[in-house]
Amino acid sequence: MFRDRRPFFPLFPLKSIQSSIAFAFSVLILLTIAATSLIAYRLSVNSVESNSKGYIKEVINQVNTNIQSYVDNMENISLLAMTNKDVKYYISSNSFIGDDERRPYEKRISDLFQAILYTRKDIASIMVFGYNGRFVSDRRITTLNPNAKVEEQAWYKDAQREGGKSVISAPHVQNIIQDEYRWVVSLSRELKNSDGLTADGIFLVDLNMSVINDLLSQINLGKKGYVFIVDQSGNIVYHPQQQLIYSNLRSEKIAEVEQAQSGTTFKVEDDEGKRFYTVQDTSFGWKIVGVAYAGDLIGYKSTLINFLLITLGGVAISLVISVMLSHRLSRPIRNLQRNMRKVEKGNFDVQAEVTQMNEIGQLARTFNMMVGQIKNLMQEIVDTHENKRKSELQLLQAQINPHFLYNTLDSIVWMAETKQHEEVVLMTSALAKLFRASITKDQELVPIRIEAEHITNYLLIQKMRYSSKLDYRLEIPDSIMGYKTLKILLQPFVENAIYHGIRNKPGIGTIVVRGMDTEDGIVFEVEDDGLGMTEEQLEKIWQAPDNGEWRGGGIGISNVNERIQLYFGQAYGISIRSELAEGTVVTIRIPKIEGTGGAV
Amino acid sequence: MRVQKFTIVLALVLLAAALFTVFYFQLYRVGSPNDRTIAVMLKSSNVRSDFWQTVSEGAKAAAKESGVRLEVMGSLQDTDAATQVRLLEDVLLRKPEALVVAPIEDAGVAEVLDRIREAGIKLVAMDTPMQLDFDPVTVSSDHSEAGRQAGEVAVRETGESPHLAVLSDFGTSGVSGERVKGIREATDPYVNSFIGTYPCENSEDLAYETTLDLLSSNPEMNAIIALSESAALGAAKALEDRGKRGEVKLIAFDSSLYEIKLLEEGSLSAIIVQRPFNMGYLGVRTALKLIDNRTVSRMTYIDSIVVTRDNMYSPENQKLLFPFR
Repeated sequence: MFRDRRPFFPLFPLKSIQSSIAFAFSVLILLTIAATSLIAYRLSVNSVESNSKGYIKEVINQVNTNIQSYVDNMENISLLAMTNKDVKYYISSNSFIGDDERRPYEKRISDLFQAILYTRKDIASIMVFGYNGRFVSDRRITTLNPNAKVEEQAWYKDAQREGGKSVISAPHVQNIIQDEYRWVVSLSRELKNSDGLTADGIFLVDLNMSVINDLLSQINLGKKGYVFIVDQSGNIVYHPQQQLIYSNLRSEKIAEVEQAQSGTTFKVEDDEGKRFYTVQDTSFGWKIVGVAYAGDLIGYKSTLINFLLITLGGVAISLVISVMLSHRLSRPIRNLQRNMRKVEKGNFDVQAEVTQMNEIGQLARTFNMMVGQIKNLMQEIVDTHENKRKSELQLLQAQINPHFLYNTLDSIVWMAETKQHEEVVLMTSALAKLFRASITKDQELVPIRIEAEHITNYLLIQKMRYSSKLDYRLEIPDSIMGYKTLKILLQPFVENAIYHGIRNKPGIGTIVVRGMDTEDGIVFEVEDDGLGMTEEQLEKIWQAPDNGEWRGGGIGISNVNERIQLYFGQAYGISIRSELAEGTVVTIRIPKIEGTGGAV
Repeated sequence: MRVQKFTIVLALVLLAAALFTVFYFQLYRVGSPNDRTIAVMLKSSNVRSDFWQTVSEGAKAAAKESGVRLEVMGSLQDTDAATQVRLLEDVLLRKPEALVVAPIEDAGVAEVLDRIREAGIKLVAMDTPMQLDFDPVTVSSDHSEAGRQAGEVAVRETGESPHLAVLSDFGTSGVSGERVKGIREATDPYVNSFIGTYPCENSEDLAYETTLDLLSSNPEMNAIIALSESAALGAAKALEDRGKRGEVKLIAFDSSLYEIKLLEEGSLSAIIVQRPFNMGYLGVRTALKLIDNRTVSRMTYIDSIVVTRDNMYSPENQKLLFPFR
């Protein structure tokens, strides 16, 4: 049972099948999960990346559209001013407006600008500077900053250089109005005379930078993402960390941005992290760039965590399942093993439970059969030993049959009294030999010669006792004298022949003991011409005295038969032929066993 | 027997599924990283104070970049030490990972800062060289270098024969002391160049009077360096009134709208401008490094910029002079 509590993650060497199966399963499952999740992760990261690229592009597009609309708006305002007759006349170089007529013109233009300004919160100021030195703004009274020369302003010079086309400036501080320092983006344009060739002045619209700033700062590109703008020449127009860039605390990928096509996205990966730059060109020359950090994008993180969790969960569950499966698969084996261990300890009553008819079930069944066989064999051995012991005991009892002894001694006494000295000597010596032969217990098998001597002695004694009734012959050829036979094999049959066949027969009876050498072995025959037996009697004598009790005259035939078969096998044994009033022939078959001869 | 086993297996699977779900949501919640907080204590949280607002912006830029949470605070007046002490006590209670502080020079502030440091809050000092019981990691403009830059401008503007006076704020100010030290470094090589340092106590009138006095007592004076805005304005007015504009070069520190106008009209030859955005940015960056136990240099100097009338509208300097909000 202790194997059940092995750690979940078996280490080499794997001692049990369960751990091997669990390990194999786990490796298989882990590999599969790792492969699938890797692929799926790659796929979803790609999709998240492309999604977020799309998202950034859309956001940047939106920014572009918004800024474009502001610029378009300024453009429209400039067109309005350009086509306005009052403005034209007012700044016209061939001045047919006298100084006295200036005021109403100024007022009308100013009112127009004001009206525009009211509707547009994003416009900071609208101004016109004539080359004739006149200027009008959206304010009634405009005081120019005496320290700032209009002609030196970048937007003024750029507009002059472009000659009629509108120019968008970078965000700057507009300082031409006294006491006003506002961050603006300027659109300026040279106003042409009605002939379209000579220029009369510069028109200026200032867009509040805060509008663009608000727009850009509201854009959500993740926690760290941001938007910046560069102009055609790669100067930063707007950057949330412009100051850091100016002081070289931070750098921006200007070169890459300049090379990038409009609407494309490129990836930058350095110590600041992986991020995507999306570039969008505007019609007025700025490039709007959105920067989003990969780790920042919502899908990114959740994808990562999702995959980690799904993989972990899958691995955990599959590990548990693999351990359980392996436990389940190896359980019958372990049961079998347990049973085998019991058998090892000598318990043969074990029966393995056969639950399934698979290989292990068959194994269990075979095991059960084997254990059954072993058990039977063991029982047989035990029984055999028991029987042997019993038959030996009976044999011993047969040899020292007290009645026989008394009777023989009585005969001796009687012979001694009648002074038949020779007979006494003969009988006593035969009795002594008889007993010596039976007392030698050390060998169960003896040469036939010894057995012949034994039976001769026995018959001699019996002959002396029943001289008037008994005659006998011994027909054992010398050729078989060397083979071995069971000790005191013939005596019980001779005894039976005398007591049951001849004793009660009127007249003399003859007993013939034969030994024959046949192909199959040695055959002994004990033949008498006594009373014989009926079929019933014949059957009866086969029934062994099962309690081993001594019944009168001799050893049970069946006991002897059993003894022979115990020693020599089922092929050998006893058969009896009997005919009432004719006699009985007992045939005993034993194998030929070459003896060394001359034992005892 | 078989059914029982199946039940156990099913129970295990369900348990695993339940655990998985719990983990899933917990990790999800914990998944949003960085609840690190850095407190930033400004000298003044007044929205009209361009300088400190820009510092705050720099700090926010750094915080956004690294994903930390930022708590910006400060007293309304940059001399209100009592409020700063109170706010610092609050910080001590909230226990952020780090505090970036521009301390007002005050014994109470020093004492609280000491306790904050002992509480294990990483401390980064900004702006002011201040006498504390310990040496904090400092991110500051190099005031003596700025003084040297001012001195060099004076030398250049006066054709290398400067005779200059310094209009200071208070005699005790650490910043002013550093600046004067720098000025003298630049001018001392020239003979008879330094007239003296005159405290004007943040009073424009006092500066005006002092300048008039100096003009009469030191007719050879050809440069004035004003360490504070009020000194610069007073001096400019006095020079204007005496018709000495342009003749006596006036150099000032830090920018304000008035100073910018003076620069535009030529009353001021140059102003030495700090980079407050960088200060806030580097302050928070340094605090982050401290939190991560990385090595930081004890002193981080931020350079100052000399802005003259010619370069005041360059893209870089515009950003410095006109903080955009």
